[in-house]
Amino acid sequence: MSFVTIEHLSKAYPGVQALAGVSFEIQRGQVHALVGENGAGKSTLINILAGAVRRDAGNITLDGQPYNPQTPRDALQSGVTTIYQLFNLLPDRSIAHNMLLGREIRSSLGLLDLGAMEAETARILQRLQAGHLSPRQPVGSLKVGEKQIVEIGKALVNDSRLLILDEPTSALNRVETEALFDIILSLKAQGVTFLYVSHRLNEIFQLADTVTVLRDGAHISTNPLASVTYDSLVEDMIGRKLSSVYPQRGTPAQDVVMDVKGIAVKGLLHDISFTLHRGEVLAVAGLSGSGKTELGKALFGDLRTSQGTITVDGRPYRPAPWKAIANRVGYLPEDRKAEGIFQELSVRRNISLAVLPAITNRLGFLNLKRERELATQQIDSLAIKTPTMEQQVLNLSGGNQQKVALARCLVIDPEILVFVEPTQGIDVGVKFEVYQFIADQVARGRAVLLISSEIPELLGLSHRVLVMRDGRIVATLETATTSQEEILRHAVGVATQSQTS
Amino acid sequence: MTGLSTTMSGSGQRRIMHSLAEYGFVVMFFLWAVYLTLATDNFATTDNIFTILRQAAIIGITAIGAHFVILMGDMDLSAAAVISLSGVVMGEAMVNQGFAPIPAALAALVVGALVGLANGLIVTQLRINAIITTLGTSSILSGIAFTITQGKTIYGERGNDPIDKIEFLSRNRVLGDWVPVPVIILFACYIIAFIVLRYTAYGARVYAVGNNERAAWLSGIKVDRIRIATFVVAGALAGFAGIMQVARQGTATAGMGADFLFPILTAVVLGGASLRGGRGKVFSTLVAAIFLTSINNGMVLLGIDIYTQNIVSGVILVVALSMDRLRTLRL
Amino acid sequence: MKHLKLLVSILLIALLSMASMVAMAQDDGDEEEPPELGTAEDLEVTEEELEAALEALGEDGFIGVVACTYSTEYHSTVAESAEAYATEKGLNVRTFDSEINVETQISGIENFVSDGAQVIVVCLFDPPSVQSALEEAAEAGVMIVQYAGRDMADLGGVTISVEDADMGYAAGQYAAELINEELEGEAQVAILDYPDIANVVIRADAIRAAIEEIAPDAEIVGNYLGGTADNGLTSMETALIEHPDINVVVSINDAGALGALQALENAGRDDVIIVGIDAEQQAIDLIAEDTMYKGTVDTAPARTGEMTIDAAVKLLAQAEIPQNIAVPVNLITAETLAAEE
Repeated sequence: MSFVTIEHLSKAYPGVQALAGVSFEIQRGQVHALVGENGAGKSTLINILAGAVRRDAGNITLDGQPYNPQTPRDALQSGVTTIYQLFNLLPDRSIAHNMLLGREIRSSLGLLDLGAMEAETARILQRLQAGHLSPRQPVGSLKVGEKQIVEIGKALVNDSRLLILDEPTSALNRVETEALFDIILSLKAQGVTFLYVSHRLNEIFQLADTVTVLRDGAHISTNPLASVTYDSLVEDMIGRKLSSVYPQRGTPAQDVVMDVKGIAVKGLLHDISFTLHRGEVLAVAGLSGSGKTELGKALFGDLRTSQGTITVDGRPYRPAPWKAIANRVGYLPEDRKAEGIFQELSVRRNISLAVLPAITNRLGFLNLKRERELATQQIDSLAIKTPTMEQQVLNLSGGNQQKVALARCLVIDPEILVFVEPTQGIDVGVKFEVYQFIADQVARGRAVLLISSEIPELLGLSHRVLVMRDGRIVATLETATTSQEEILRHAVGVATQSQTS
Repeated sequence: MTGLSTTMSGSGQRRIMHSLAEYGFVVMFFLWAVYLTLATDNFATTDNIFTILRQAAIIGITAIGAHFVILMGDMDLSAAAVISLSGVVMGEAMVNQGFAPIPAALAALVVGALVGLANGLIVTQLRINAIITTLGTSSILSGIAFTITQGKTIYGERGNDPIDKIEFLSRNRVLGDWVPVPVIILFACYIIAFIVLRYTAYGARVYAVGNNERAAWLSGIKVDRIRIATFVVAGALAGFAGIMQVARQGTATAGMGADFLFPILTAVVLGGASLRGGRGKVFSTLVAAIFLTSINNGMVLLGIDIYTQNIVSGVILVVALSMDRLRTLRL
Repeated sequence: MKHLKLLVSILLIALLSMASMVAMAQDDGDEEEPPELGTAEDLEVTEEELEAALEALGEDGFIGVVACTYSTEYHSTVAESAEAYATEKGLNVRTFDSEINVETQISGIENFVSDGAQVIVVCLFDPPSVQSALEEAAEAGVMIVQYAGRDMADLGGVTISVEDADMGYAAGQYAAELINEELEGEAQVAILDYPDIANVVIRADAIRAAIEEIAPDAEIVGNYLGGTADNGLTSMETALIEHPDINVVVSINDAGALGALQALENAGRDDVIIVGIDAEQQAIDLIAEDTMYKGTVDTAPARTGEMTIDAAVKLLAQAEIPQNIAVPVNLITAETLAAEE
């Protein structure tokens, strides 16, 4: 039966309607999954349920009673606990202190009864299948998964009936994830209701009873797990039909657009040589620490090369960011939010800062008209959703911020694009757009150096793959004839067999 | 900030808070000015207004440089010492070494610019943080100024005073003998500063570096060069202010700039520039500088005895800063 | 509303600052009976005394001169003259600038003591705050000569006193006499003050007392912030707006008065009587040339410097000297300058 009823819930922030008339029900004793892209409204919904944010309109009932928490304390007292990605724990204090924070057991004298506290903590840890942890351990010494268990324990101490989990597995490994699932299922059996928010659709399929999809602040669907599929969920989330995941690959040309010989960076890269052709997607694979990210930085001039030569289109090129741009080499860094955009500047200025020399006249003054033209071009061609070009980038949704970062690469009319982990932290729907985008770029005759840890992605998009290990290129493979296993083998360093298939 | 749909509680109260937040200290300035107009006979006269503007000129001009540096995410604590040293150089050159005004002024400006260059180089090449660097250079400059003056005042012979040649910078009036020269210079400097920040590539780069140094670097901006250039600008402006202060006082002493550091930095912060860099409107700094000057002016006109003046100006400042703080509260 | 907290904080801060200002402005120390004052003659140093002093200092000992500041002519002159005089006599001497900052002065004194100073010659601008540092120095056997106020006589050190009250009174008295002679006893008087330094406040009070006593019909329109040229200039500019008829300015130092003079000239005035204190050279020049600047009080900074060293020598030689010695104060006017020639 219905445990939580949400009716016509709405919330607006300046310039953005975060939730628009969302209605659905959460059944008692179920794991109810909430999915949607970034910007869909999941965080807002959670924040309202958690009492951190006030709704503009709509009703919520909890177990038949109106539920309208004014503060997070209210939510806690009504039995709703929210566990966020960042934990609210005191690292210097013990598990017992943390778990019973605010609900300490006192002796008749009013002092803390540590014995009773530890016993209670131990009981809860048992219930969470974490009996091996000592209640006296300081929380700071625990692993991430264990910290999460302490958070859940806090919820139990508070007699929570509704547990909201926000991306709980993002910091966990496989073993810890499985452990978490066990706990959730066992608590579910004891009558606890879960609202489970996650990007990872395969987890939803393992765990959930019901799935609700939000998109752009609106409610799209709520269905029992049995009646949805992976594809149907993705389609609900992005609002479009899926065709094939990876676009068609063209054929690269013969002309060499970048020739790298013997590049080295002190301590990080040794003797790197390769060629890049027009119309080619050249992938760079490797484990973390292999040097693939450093290669991207070195080509752009973010890292100093100590040796070696590079030519771009036959011209000698000594990497430095301003020279890269002048040579039409574009760079999309790994952390686009932190390094790829200027949060507090306008979309227009963000775009033009990548090509200031092109819009500056001889006296040093900016050609504002040209600046606006360039910005309009990029906004249109990348379909960046923004009310005007003057909007501060931090007000855009995550996906559109990524697009601004991309626009900053494209506005220099690059011949070569260096992408580092381009789909990291990106929504399902936008990933496909990025793949299509890369295919479009090479179709136009540009060359893409794709540095990525996602091997399926490398295989789906590239023509050739460079595998790196310990700062060197250890293999150059043709995508058509190689496999995930072969790439991994080179990346890890197991002795290889002959490459002929 | 329009567009908030019907909220649950006191939207009228929120709207007042909104306006306070938008305009911050200007509200306090406005209230203060209204009070002074009503409570004294002489506040709202052109004579007094021009007096305030003249008095604000030195701080205002130097504050432009401080504003630029703060926009970049740094801070220049040597501005006051540069005023002193360049003023001393100006005075010494003209009075004791017989230089004509223009070469002496050039020397003073060059001193300021060189100090800025030194600051910029130390910050970018030695990677020492700007606060410590400029504190250090400030000490050195002070020492040099004291060595030149030997603790004494530099002044010219009465009736044959070389400094009289530059007194037009302080005394004369233009535009029909009405607007004092320092006021014109003050506004001209701010207008130029505004144009530079908004319409030149250099200005765009300063904001970029202050906003996100990493992204600026990856955009091909030569961050170190911009840093150095900005410190040089700040130094040159402080040097110019030193020249104007000599014209105003008619003398030069090694300590003449010292009292200015606090008002300069206060003007920039009160004007809303973020100390983390990347945000700030230069005209707000101007209004803040004028506001600060008007506080002292107002207290004298009101006849508040000087022992109480510190309290009053402190209270006004605290209230003004708090109003500004409302700007960043989540509403 | 949650902004209530913010407003309450503002009120609290305002109250706190008011309370602390009131506390600082408290009159500390009552008026004592002025002790017997010695004169400069009592400080004449003999050959034997000098030799004894040199012996007592030896190689490592020295006389530490702690100046109030070097930013005004008066103070820098005292310190420099003391240094030059001592060096001339072969005495080890070191100087230190307190920058009118209590913390700085305390550190300076402590450093001198631990470095081996045997006598500290100190200018005290805020005697009570430095008291414990001086007591510690005294306990370490360091002898003290101080050349500012008289409040610390009970430390057993020698005080070369330049009486702020005397200086202020002399300036105020001269101004009042001029008011009576030239303005028929009526005037609008502005006093330039600098309340940051406790002893200077005594000067300002003495100026006021003198004027009220000798020219009771003159109206003192207010105390304004002086102390530096810019302050004097700015204060006078603004004061003239409210009181355009100010025709007498008496200042606690020449620096402020010179700034006020500039403001008055800018305003086209040539009829104002200005009297300062410190006998800065620029002031003396102006007095000699028959300008609005009419007088200043010579506190003989160079002589004061020498006297402190003489006192130090006597102390090192364990000779007997009075505990309080007054520096002769004299008024400088156009007449006295003419008489000297």
